[in-house]
Amino acid sequence: MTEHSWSIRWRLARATLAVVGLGWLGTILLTLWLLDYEMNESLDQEMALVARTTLLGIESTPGPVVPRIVGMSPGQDEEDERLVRLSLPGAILPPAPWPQPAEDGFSEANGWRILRATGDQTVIEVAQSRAWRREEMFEAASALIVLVLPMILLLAWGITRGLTRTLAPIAALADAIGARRPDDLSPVTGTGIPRELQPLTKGLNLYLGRIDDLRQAERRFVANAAHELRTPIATIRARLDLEGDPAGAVPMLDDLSRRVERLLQLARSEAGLGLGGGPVDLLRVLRLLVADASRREGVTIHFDDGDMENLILPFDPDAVAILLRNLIDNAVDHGDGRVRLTLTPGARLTIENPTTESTFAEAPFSKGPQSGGVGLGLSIVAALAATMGIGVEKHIEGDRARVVVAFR
Amino acid sequence: MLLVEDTTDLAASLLAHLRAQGHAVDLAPDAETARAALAVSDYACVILDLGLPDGSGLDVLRERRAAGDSTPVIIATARDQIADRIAGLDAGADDYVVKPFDLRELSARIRANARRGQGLPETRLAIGALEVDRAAARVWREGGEVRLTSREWALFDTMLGARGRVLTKAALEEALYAFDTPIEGNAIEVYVSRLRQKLGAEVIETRRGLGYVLS
Repeated sequence: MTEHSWSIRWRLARATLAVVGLGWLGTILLTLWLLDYEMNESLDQEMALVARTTLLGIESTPGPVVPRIVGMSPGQDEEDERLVRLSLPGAILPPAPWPQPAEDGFSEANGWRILRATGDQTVIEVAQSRAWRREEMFEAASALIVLVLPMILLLAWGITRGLTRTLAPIAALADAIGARRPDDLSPVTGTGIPRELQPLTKGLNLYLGRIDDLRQAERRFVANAAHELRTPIATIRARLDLEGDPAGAVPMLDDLSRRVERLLQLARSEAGLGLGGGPVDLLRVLRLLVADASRREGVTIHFDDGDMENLILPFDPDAVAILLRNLIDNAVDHGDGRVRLTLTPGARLTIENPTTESTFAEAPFSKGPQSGGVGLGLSIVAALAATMGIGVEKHIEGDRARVVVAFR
Repeated sequence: MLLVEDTTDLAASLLAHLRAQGHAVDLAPDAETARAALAVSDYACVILDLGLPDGSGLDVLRERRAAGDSTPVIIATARDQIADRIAGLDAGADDYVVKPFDLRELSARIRANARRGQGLPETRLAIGALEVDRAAARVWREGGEVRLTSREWALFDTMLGARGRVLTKAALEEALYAFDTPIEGNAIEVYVSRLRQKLGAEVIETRRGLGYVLS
């Protein structure tokens, strides 16, 4: 995943949650506003009821009214928050946290909401502190939020899960494409893919089909070219060998044959030869290549197989063989014929040879002054190593050239 | 000897070369003729092309091996890929030569693989139940090739060079000096044990206090 990539699922989930969340927030705020309005009205009605019933009770009771201040809910925490003051017109007022209102009705003063009512002989003031009323409101709002919050969390979970399930076929398609071997160009299946994305899978399959056709055609051409060129060259060479090669044409024919082979190898490596998944027994391939190279005149290969009998790797055998054959030939062509191959744990192969050169000729068709090669070997190696994800490090230290191939 | 080759000009040159080398050679230009020839004659060696007009040489080889025919077979083909080569060797080929080849190289392969009379190829030694090709660093036990690691072969090759003579542990350790890794104190015992497992317990004899000798 690149740093610029983003997830459809998370983006959709975030957008949906943001819209739904804002909707819920608006609803809650509106509900709170209504709750505040209704609670104020309800508390005012309660104050009015208290004032009316108290007046009725007092005035229907024989005897003088004693001016006093009493709590509406004695013995409770809010005893000092809801008070009733009884007084007589013209008499000294019992002290209260609010000033006496000038007229009957609701008023606000010193953080209190007061209802004053006047009976035949008595003035009653029913008062509730604003703090207590706010606290009542806060408790009601808290209860609302406590009930709503789990619903919001449930909604978020539901949306995320719903999106995950809806997008699962797309995620499965992406995983299936990602898990494919690099050489797998078979069509992708559009099963479960939404209608909106079907053109994408169809387009992808069309594209994959075209690439596969081109690649198959290229491979067929290279394979046929290899076969069709080798047989007539073999015929000519056998005839020349038989006749003692009076014109000295065999070396030229061998050079031509080597050039054709290298060009075909380069074509194959660039046509995705290394994409195949193997398996290959590296030891077996190395033993065959060492036997081939050892048959060349003046060549001595010392092969240390790390005391292993086999080493199975997930690479295309032909790609591995072409890569290693070119490196071994390169070591032979750029040295004195003595080559040391050492395989070490971790599937690392070191190829060493004495050399008088100071650099590797890596550009296509470039080669060292003493080389008898074509100048394509290291280009083929580079193309294959890049395709296969194999590390190839080349060093020249003093009079020794060393190439390390890291297969893992 | 049987030459299975469908390219007329190449076949003519190969026939002329092989006959000049003193071999009696039959030519089969297709798979059907090759099958018929192999069914009735006992050849010292078969040189087999893979791409034949009426089928694959590989099928012919598999059929003969399945029928118990152990005639040495050298595949000579334009198929140069290692996977083809491994498939050929796995099908029972004794050697694999890729076209174009040097006729001298073909002769060398024939010497290394073709039976002489009822005996072994020219380059092979017989040691009890073993056949050994020192130049190719290959060893067979009762007809089947045994795979030795490079250190095992180095030790075995040293013993082959001193057949019948007792080699001290120090002399055998010298064979391992070419590998740039430390030699453990019991390395020789370990490798001798492994060689006995692969080649047969009777092949290497221990002379107590002296060393080892190839029987």
